[in-house]
Amino acid sequence: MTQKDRNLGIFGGLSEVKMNELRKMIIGLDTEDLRRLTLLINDPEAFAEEISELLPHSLKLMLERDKVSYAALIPLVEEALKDSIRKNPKTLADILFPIMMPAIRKAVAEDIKEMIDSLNSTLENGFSPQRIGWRFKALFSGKSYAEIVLSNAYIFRVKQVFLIHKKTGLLLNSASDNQNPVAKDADMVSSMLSAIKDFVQDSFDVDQENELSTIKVGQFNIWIEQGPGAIIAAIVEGEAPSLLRTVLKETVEKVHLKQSYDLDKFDGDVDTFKKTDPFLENCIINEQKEKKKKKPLILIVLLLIIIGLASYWTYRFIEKEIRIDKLEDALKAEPGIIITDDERVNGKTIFEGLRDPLATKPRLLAKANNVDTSEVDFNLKAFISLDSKMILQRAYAILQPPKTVELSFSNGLLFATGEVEEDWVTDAQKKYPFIIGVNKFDKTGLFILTNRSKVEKRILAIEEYFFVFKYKTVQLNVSQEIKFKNLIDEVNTVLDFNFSQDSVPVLVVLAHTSYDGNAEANKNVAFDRAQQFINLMINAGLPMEVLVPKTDFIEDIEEAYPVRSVSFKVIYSKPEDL
Amino acid sequence: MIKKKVVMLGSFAVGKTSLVQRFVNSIFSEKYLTTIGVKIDQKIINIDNTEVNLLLWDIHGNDDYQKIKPAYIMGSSGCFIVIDGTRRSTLETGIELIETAKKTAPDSHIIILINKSDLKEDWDINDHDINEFKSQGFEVFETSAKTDNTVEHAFTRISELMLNK
Repeated sequence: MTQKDRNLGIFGGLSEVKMNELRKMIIGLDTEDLRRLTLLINDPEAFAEEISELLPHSLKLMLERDKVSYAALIPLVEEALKDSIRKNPKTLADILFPIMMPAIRKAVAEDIKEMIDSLNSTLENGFSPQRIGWRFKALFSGKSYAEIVLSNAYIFRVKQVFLIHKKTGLLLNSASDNQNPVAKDADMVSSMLSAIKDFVQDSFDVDQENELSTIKVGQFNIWIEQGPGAIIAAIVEGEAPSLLRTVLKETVEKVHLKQSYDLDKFDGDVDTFKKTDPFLENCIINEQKEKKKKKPLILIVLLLIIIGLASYWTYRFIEKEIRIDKLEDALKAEPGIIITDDERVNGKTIFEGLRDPLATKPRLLAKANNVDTSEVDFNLKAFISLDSKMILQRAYAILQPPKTVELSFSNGLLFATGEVEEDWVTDAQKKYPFIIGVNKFDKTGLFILTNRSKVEKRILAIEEYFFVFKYKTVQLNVSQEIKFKNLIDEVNTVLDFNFSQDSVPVLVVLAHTSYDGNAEANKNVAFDRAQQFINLMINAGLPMEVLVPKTDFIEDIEEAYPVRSVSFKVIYSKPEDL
Repeated sequence: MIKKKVVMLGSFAVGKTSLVQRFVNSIFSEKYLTTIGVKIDQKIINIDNTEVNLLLWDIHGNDDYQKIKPAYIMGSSGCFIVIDGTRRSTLETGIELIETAKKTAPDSHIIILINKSDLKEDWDINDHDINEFKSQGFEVFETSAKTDNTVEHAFTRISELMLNK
C-alpha cells in the first residue's frame, strides 16, 4: 500500500479512475475542473481574465434590475474625467474640439443676430408719428404703452402664459391664445418649470438679480419673470423685444398688488386666482405685424409696363388734343376761314365751316401745327370773305402789282404806294371796282413812271454797260453773252420810243484805246472793234442804221473805261443826220 | 380645483419611480431624474366629491454624491418617504429624509411606504421598526409595485390628510 493509498483510507484500494468517478458523484467536479478552479484561485491574473468576460454583462443586469443606477456611476465617471483633465487637458480638448467649435460659432452668431435685431428694432421703431399715436392709444385704452407697442410692432406671438405659485410650483392660473396651447399639460409643465428654475438657482448659486429669466425650447422661448410670491412664465414664439419683459413685470406687480394675501396663504385652492384672468390675457399678444412679403418682381415689371403704356397713351392723347386745339385756334384766327363746328368720327376730328378760296389751305395750317392729315379732315364750303386781309389778298390777285408796289386796305379804301409804270396804274383803275370789298382806289402814294422817264432810265442803264476784249478780238465769253442779251433788250426798249417827231435815237458804240505806241494804228484797231461789236448787235436784230461806231482815246488814266473796251452812248439826232 | 404638491423621497433604487408609474399621469422622461434631479407626475384623485390635483415630485434618491435640493421639497403639502424593505440602509436614509422634510416643509403630511412587500421574506426591516414609525405618529403602508393596490390607498390617504379629512 502506498502512502497515497494510506491517506485515502477506505478509498485507498480504489484506482485513480474509480476515484475520479466517485469525486464527480459527490461534488460534481472531476480532476480537470478542480485543477482549473485551483488555478483561478492561485493566479490573480487568470482570475481577472475570467471575471472580465462576466463583468459587463453583470453591470448591465444590475442596471436593468435597479440594483445600481447610472447616477451612481456618474460621480465615478466625473471623477475619472477630472483626473484625466488634471493630468493632460490637451487630450480632452482634442476630443471636444469638433463639438465645441460649431457650438461656439453658433453662440457667437446668435449673439450677433440678437444685437442686429435689437439695433434694427431701435432704428425701425424710433421716435415717429406712429409712436405718438400708440402713446395716445395707451392713454385712452387703459393698456400700458408697452402692450400697445408689442401688439403693433413686432413679429412674435405669446402663445401661453402661466401664473405659478413660487413656493409650491403649482399652477395658479393660465391663459393661452385659444388656438393651440403649446404646453401639453399646464400643471405639470408649471411644476417642471419651477423645478428647473430651482435647479438653476441652486446649481449655479446665482443671486436674486440673476434668476433664470429665459429658456429656449426649439422655436419657443419661455420668458420667466419672478415676484416674491408668484412667477409669470410666458411661452413666446419668435423673437420678442425686451418690451415684453416690461409687460411681464407689470403683470407680476399687478398680481401681487391684488392677491398678495392669497399668495401668502395659498393652500391649493386655485379658484381664487381667477381674478388674474385679465392680467394674464393682456400678456397674450396674438397680433402680428404683417410680415414684409417678398416683392413679386414679375408683377412689378408688368405693372410698370402697364403704367408706362398707360402714361404714354395718356400723354399721346393729351398731346394730340393740345395739337388739335391749337390747329382749331389757328383755323379760327386765319382770315378767310370760319369754323362752325367740329366733330370726332372714328378718332378723327372733322372741322366744318366756310373758306375763302384765297385763304390759306387748311392742310398747310395742320402741317404747321404738327397735326397729321390722318388725325383731321376739313369740310369747308367756299365763300367770299370780307375780312380786310382777304380783300387785300384779293386785290393783289386781281391787280397783280409789280414788286415795287405795296397795297394796303382799310375801310373800303385800297391804297397803293411805291414806284410803278403808268400803264399799270391805268389798268388798276379799271379793275379795282371788281375787287369785292374795295370801294375806292387811292394812287396818291405812287410814283408813276411816265414813258419818257422810263426811257431815260433805260438810256442811263445802257450807258452803264461796257465790254472788255482781248487784243484784236471781239469774242463774248459766257458772262458777256448774258450781259449782251440784256443790253440788246434795253436798246430795243429805247429804240421803240421817240421823244419827238423830229429826232430818232442813235446808239453810239465807243471803242476805247490809248495813245500808247502808234496812236493812228490804235485808232484803227479800236474802230474795227467798234465795227465788229456793231456786227454782233446787227446779228442780234438791231437795225444797222441806228448803230454808229466811234473811237475814243483815253486821256486820263483815271477814266472809267479801260483800253480795248467798248461802251455805249444814246443820242437823238435828226433822221437826215444819220 | 384644489392642487397639492406631493414629494416622493427615498434612497436610490427603493422603487419610487416604479411604485407610482402605473398610477400617475406622466409626460416627462425619466432622464430628468438624473439630470435636474426631479421628475413631475400628476395624479388626480377624488375625495368625497372633491377633486384633488396632485403634482407629484419624484425626487432623485438621496446619496453621498447628490444631496436632495431643499427647494424641491419646499411648499409641499404631502410627502412619501419610500424605504426598500430588503435594504436596511434605506430605512436609515428614510429617517434622515423625514428630518429634512420636517425642516423644509413643516406643514407637509408624511406617509411612509415600505416597498417590495412581495419580497417580504428577504426584508431587513421588522415589525419593531414599523411600530417605531407608527409610534412617532407616521402612517406606514407596505407596498409593492408588482402585486398590490396599496399605492392607490396611500394616495387617497395622503389626500385626506392634506384636506384635513
